[in-house]
Amino acid sequence: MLRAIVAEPELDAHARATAFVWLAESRPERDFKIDCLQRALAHEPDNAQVQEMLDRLRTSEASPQIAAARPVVIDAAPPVVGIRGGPNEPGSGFFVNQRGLVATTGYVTGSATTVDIGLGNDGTVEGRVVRRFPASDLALIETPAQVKSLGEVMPAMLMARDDLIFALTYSGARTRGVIREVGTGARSQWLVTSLSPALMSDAGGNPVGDAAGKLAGMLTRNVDRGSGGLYALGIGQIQQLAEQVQQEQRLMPDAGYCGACGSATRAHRYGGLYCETCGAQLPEAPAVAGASPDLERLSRLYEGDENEPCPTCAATVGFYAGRCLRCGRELTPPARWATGEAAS
Amino acid sequence: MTGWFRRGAAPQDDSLGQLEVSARAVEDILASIGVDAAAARMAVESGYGWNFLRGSALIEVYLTPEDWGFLQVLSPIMHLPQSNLLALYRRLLELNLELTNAALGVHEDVVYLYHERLLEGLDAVEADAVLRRIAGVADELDDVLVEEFGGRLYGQG
Ligand SMILES: [Zn+2]
Repeated sequence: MLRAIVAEPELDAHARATAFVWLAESRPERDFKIDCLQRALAHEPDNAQVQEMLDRLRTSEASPQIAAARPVVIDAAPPVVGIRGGPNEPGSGFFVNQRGLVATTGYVTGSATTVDIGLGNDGTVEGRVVRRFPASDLALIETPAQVKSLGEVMPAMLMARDDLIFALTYSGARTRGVIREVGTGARSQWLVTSLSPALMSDAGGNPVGDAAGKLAGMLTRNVDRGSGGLYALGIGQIQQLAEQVQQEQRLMPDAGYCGACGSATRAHRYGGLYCETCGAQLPEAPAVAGASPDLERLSRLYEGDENEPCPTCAATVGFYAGRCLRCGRELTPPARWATGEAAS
Repeated sequence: MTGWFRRGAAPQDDSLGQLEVSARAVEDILASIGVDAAAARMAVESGYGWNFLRGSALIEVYLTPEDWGFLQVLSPIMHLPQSNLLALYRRLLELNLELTNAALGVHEDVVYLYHERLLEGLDAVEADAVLRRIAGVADELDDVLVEEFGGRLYGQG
């Protein structure tokens, strides 16, 4: 399948290069990885990240894996970690995979790009926020921790009304409550709990466990207006989004993070000053402002020229609800349609 | 949030007296529109802050001592959706032009409705009108925008 992707004639050089990076990840052999990364570089010679991966791979005889610098090895994941450095600190969080990815809420991290992660007896490590999903109020943070074993999880769909739950806070508090409602349909990621904001002493991100101590989700500070209870995000949604982030990182190893909207961004790689998702100025902007931007790549990234031109202003930015997004004029059908002379 | 825009000037002694008078006036106004002012109080770094619900909209009110003292009324409306942002931004700018005495803006990933004016000369009738107007517009806009563009209502699941 990947081989088919890299052979696809429609792909641009960057996409082809990232496909080779992904292909490199698909097998453990060092020589195979080096071969793939060399091919990636041949398509995109200025990709510093691929060059760096290749250099690291060539110098590491012992391990074919690209290892993080100085990992903190933890035998069993602590049930809750502490998070400082966001606008509403302190908050709580927890590990979602063995590679040390930590989940907390977007409310806890805000637009911060790095935070301090408290690991109890294992001290404090610096975490790098890699993505925020505003629709789920989830922030995912990379840490140098490697976790040998994680606790068991309980999918939210198996939880039922009135089930006993416990929310953990990094300060040590264990707050008891029940499930009030399990979301269905489009709201199936959410659980409404009986816990109220006044009961909780930090900014959220608390792991929520069932009576047997299995991880069911993460407590947010979003409030159900009907009952006054706090929403928890189900563990299934958290794991799914964590997996999505890891896939994106394989496909776009050079992507950065936009603290304003939480998206992955590549605009700065081509000298762009603004996030291609939300338009916010990127933190790298001042550093690259003097450099000459790669306008061709940027225009593809900003999707500025992929639409039919507006008949009034000729802008190719696109249309919404029948109106040009640049000039706002209605996209009226050609005159022959209006007069009923439609071509057959 | 501790006041919206931070101003550099130090608090002035004569504005502090005015600030307390204004805080009492704001609490009277909140009571007159059915808000429990004591329950609505928020801890802020300087000045005073309150928040309360109006329909589905959350309203935050700040009295800031910086410079001459300002009344700031804002309503966080929604978290930006992940896609179709250009259309939403355009809609917000169009709505901005239609709004009187209030502005729509984006801070980080949240759309806000915002009003600010000098405390000096503010009377209860005018403050009441401002609060009612922001609350009314925010309550109307939040559902409409989320319905059309997606995203998540602020502070809700
Ligand atoms: Zn962004």
